[in-house]
Amino acid sequence: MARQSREAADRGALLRGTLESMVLRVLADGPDHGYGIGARIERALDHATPIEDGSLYPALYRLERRGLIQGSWGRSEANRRARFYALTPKGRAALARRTREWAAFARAVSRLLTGASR
Amino acid sequence: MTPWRRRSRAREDDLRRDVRDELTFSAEMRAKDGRRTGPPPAELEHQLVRLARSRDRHGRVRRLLSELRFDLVDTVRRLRRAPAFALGTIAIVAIGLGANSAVFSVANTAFLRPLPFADAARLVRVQEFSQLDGTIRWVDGSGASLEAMQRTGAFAYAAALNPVWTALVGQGETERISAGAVTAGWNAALGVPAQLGRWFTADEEAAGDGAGVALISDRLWHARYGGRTDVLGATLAFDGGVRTIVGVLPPGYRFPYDADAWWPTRVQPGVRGLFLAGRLAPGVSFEDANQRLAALGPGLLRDYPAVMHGNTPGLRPIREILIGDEGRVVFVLSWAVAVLLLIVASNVTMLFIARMVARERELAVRAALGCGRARQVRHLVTEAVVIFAAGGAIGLALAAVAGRALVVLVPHVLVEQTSMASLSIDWRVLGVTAALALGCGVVVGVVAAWRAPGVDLTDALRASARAGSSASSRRALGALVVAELALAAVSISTALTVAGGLRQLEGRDVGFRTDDLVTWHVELSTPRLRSGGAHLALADRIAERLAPVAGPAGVGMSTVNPLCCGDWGSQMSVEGHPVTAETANVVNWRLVTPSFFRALGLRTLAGRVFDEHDVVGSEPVVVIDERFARRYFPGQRAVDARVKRGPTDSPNPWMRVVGVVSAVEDSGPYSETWYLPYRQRPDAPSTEDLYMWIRTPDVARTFADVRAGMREVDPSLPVLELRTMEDIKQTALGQRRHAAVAAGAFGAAGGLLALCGVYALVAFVVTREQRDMGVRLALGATASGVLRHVIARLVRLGAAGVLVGVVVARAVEPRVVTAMAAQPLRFWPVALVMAAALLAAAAAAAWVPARRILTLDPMRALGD
Repeated sequence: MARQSREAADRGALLRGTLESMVLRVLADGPDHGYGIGARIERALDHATPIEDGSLYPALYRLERRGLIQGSWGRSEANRRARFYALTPKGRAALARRTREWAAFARAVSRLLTGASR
Repeated sequence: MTPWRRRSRAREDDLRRDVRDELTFSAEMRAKDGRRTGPPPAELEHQLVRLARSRDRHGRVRRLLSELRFDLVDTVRRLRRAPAFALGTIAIVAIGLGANSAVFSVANTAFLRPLPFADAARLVRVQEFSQLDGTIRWVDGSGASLEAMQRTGAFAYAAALNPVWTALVGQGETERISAGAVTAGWNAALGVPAQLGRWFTADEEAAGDGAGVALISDRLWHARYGGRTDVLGATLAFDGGVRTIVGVLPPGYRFPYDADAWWPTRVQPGVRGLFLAGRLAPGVSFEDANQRLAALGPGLLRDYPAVMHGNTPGLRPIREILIGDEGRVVFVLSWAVAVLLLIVASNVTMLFIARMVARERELAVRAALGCGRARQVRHLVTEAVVIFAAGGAIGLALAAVAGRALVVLVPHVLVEQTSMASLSIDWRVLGVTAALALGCGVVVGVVAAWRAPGVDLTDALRASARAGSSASSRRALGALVVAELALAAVSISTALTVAGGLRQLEGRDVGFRTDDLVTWHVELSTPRLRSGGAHLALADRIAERLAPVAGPAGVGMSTVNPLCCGDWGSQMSVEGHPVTAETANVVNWRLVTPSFFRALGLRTLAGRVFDEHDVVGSEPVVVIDERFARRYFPGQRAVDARVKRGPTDSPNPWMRVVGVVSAVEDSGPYSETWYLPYRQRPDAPSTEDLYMWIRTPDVARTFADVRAGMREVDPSLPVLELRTMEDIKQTALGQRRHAAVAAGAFGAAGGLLALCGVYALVAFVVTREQRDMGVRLALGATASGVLRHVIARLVRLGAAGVLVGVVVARAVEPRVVTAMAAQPLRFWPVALVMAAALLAAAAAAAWVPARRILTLDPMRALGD
């Protein structure tokens, strides 16, 4: 119940929700630390939008609180102490669902904007 | 700062450091990539710390839940791999918890479930009592007491019910029914609304009998009117007159007895045989009301000496009335099932420890792989809780199935007067069973974890290296031997006390032989049977008609059945014995025919019993029982002494004692009894009942003969409760008999389980000591010496257990005896036999496995 209403609120906050979905998608390719996740998203978006720490880290903490990702301390390539995030099974399921929803949403928006209604 | 605060402060610092590290790392990486950089904004850090805090809290809960789920799944999986262990433990837990649920459902109905009255806690019954020989004796109420209740001002409502035995006439066959005439406020005191129509109006209550209205029972409504609603306003012809039906009472309205009609009445102070009920006024406590009523007692004795018979009114809580002494029996059963549950719990604990020992290596490996001690304990507790939950569920189902049979354990007055005949498994029973299951599961799990080897890492590794027994588990197993034998002793001893005490009650001497004595009674209260001595003529016709059936002793007749019914008493005076204020000289009052003494077989100890010359107009005579003679004429000649009803100066005639007969057990309220000739006082109110007896060699045939004969004498007169006196004697024990069977079953189950437990435990302990025995043999001890040593140790442990058990049983025994109102058995001989049997069983349990090991080659015993 609570989760569903939270999910609905997330969908409302389109941007934040989109960022969370992108984090999940990136982590589906493998665990990474916060900076790496941000960098990979930026690269995937062709550097069209910078990903600010101010939105990325709260998103990561929220995702972890909900058990969609799991963080743990490890060592970076430069042997620095860094927190690595990995997708949990629950996160993987959430990613699949969000992907479906996004596709349907995008199709609908596209249909509307391009006037391709019947 | 408390340690807890310090820890939470430290955790907070860690969080802050982690957040800062993460953000710094990000900034550094950014700088390395040659991108713009700056210190992270302070508010982001705050926000993240806050998020991290809730993230960690969520994480902990999630981890706990997932571990719990894992434990549950793992437990079920492992139990399925060990079906014998699982089924065995679940079965004994089901027995233990099922017995507890069942007995608790009885206690629930008797003590906890709400009574079917509005605010039953403020509802009281008023009865009259005398204190004779140190015991309080309660009798019914009188109009004088009702008046006193109203005068106290302690009752919002005070009312009386006058029992009536009547008949419905007209509309086909005459139907005899019991009814209740109630005074104003009866309904308000009880607070049970009619299911159809209404109770009496104030005007009708004021008019009393003259109002011509009645309420009928649900039974009568369906039987006579098919449950139609147009019954309201219909008229019903009773043999006392026609009444208009104004309402129908709900099914199950049976307080204080199962009547079919109620109508308003008014009572005079002189009326006896009333059922008095009162609802305490707001703000008045039970004790307060009781004191106010007691203060009026002396005045009542002065104003109504003949009505009060030396008794004064007092209050009794309604639940106490409904439960009576039978409530105590429920406590005995609770004790018996509690002991049973303890036995079950210790058996399961023992099985757990034994299983842990067998899995020592596995546990050590788990520990080595990082399964922490706390985790291991939780694991064991989960396993125990799963087993107790499964057993509890099965036990609850068993209790629900057995519920119908267990109703016999509910105090019978409660069942009869409130219709609370079903033992529903309600939320209280569910809650108590769940709590017991959870509690036992946790305790068993914790004790097993605490005392089993293997949970502690170093201990386990060492133990597995030695393949021997660790000192702590050895002590734990020894303690379990003591506990099991103690519980077995308590369980068996309680069962013996209950069952043995009851056997003595069943076989008790009531003063006459009961097995071949047939009895029945008739009610002679209707006007047709009362007018002009019609009841005497009827009694004569019955005696004459049944003379061939009864044989030379004849048909014995009396107004009271001494073993069950009627509590007629009489205040009396003995010539030359001044009555003091403290001694209410009251005796059981029975009007009897001459054949009564012959049919029951009472011995004449002095003088004579009645004969056909003791009739109205002849010299007033009385026969007293030996208790009467002992009390008032100790060491003197009782025959020819003179006694009279009421005080010495009452207008009643002096009566001459003509004989003394042997005493009989008497359910009446007084210890002494006198007998008056039935034909000398034909109009006494007690002659409304006529009880009859025939002694016969062929009970079944006599039943048939009596039925046939009575039908011939008066076909419309119902023959009530035709049975043997033995039946009545045993029925009076009713609930106690059932309780004894139940307690015996619990005791036997407990004893058996405990013995199985002891046997398994001892066998296990001996097997564990195999290495020890091997060492002794290798060092040159003789096999028999080692055997003696092992057995001696177990017998020492067993003796300690039995001793503890016997001491506990001895401490509890008097209570059990009182609760069952039974004769105490001779405790010590029984206890000694039991103790010897238990010790022998323990020794045998040790001997069998020890023997097996000793026949092995010493080197193999050592190496295994």
